[in-house]
Amino acid sequence: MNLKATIRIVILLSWFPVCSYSQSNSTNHKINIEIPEVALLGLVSDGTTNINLTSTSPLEAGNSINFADTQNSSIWINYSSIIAKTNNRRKVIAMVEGEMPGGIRLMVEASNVLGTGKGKMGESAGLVALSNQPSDIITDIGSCYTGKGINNGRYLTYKLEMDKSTENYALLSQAQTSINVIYTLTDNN
Amino acid sequence: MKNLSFIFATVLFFAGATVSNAKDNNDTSEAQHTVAITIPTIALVDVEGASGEATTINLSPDVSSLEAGEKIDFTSVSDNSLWLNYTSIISGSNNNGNGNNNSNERVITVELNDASNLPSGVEINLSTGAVSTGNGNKGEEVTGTITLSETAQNIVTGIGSCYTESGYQKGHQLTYGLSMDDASYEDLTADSYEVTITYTISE
Repeated sequence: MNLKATIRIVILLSWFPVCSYSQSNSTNHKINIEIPEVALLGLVSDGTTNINLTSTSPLEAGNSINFADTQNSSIWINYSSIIAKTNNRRKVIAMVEGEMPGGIRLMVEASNVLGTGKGKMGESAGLVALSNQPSDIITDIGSCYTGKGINNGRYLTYKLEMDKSTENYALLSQAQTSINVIYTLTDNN
Repeated sequence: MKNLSFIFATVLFFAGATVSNAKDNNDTSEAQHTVAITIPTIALVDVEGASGEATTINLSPDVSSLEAGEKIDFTSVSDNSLWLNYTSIISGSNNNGNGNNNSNERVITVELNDASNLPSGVEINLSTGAVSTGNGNKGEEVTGTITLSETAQNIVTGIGSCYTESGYQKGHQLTYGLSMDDASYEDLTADSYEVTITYTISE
């Protein structure tokens, strides 16, 4: 009797999916959407992304050399970012690779966002002195894109600043120095 | 006791039948009998891919060639690997597809079951291709692209008695795509998302 009952149940169970499959006025399937993390950063300009910053000589004896007019805003920074969690944030850091001339500081400032971008494009950290250690340039970046090419994203204004302390002014010497500035879009830690 | 009564009744029934047959002396060179044919109403729908019944399809944007500053391109995401099959028998006489409406004609609707599982700002679009297989009054597909939502929307209307044939490349080809509202871009997060699409043929 128990055996019969078991057999009946097994038969019913094996029938059921066949019945429901072949008699349905409704069907469904799933769609999977994968959104990958994205962290891309690029520098663009009209021509080369090499820039020259040259100081002007004083016209009168006794004045210091002048860096006030030495600035360049020809490079634009573009970036694309998709973060994994809504509250995650990224930042753009920059550091100098190479030896800065003594007595001079290289400053950079990211502008406000311009162009066709959308999303959480972050905030400029203002005028920042670059060194061999990473400095924050843009903070609070979430999921966003700035648009590609010049006039999209932020332009970078470079300035030279003289260190007027006696000790460092003494380090100034006539020279042509070439350095690299490296930008990285990184996770906040 | 009940069993006994049943046996008794059965014997009486057959005895009666035998008696009445024995009395039938009307045989001629012709005889007739009735054949009753019952056609049931049928309403079946299925979605099939190349390897049988549809399970999961992937609609994922390709970021392998994305450049800094560019947005993820959702508009180039597309899947047309699934086909909508159906079989229908309706009741009523006017089911020959001659343009007159029959209130028993069916529609097929599509709906998204769990829209809240979609990535922020992302929508799924669907366009339904023309049907070239099968026979009968297969109805008309809704032309153009619809944006799927939790509200059921018609994709095929005016379905009479018909079949599309069953399987891959039978019936209507379904083309899925994605779109993104860039105003929500900052809410877009990297993850794996899954939603369910349900097709229903009215009964």
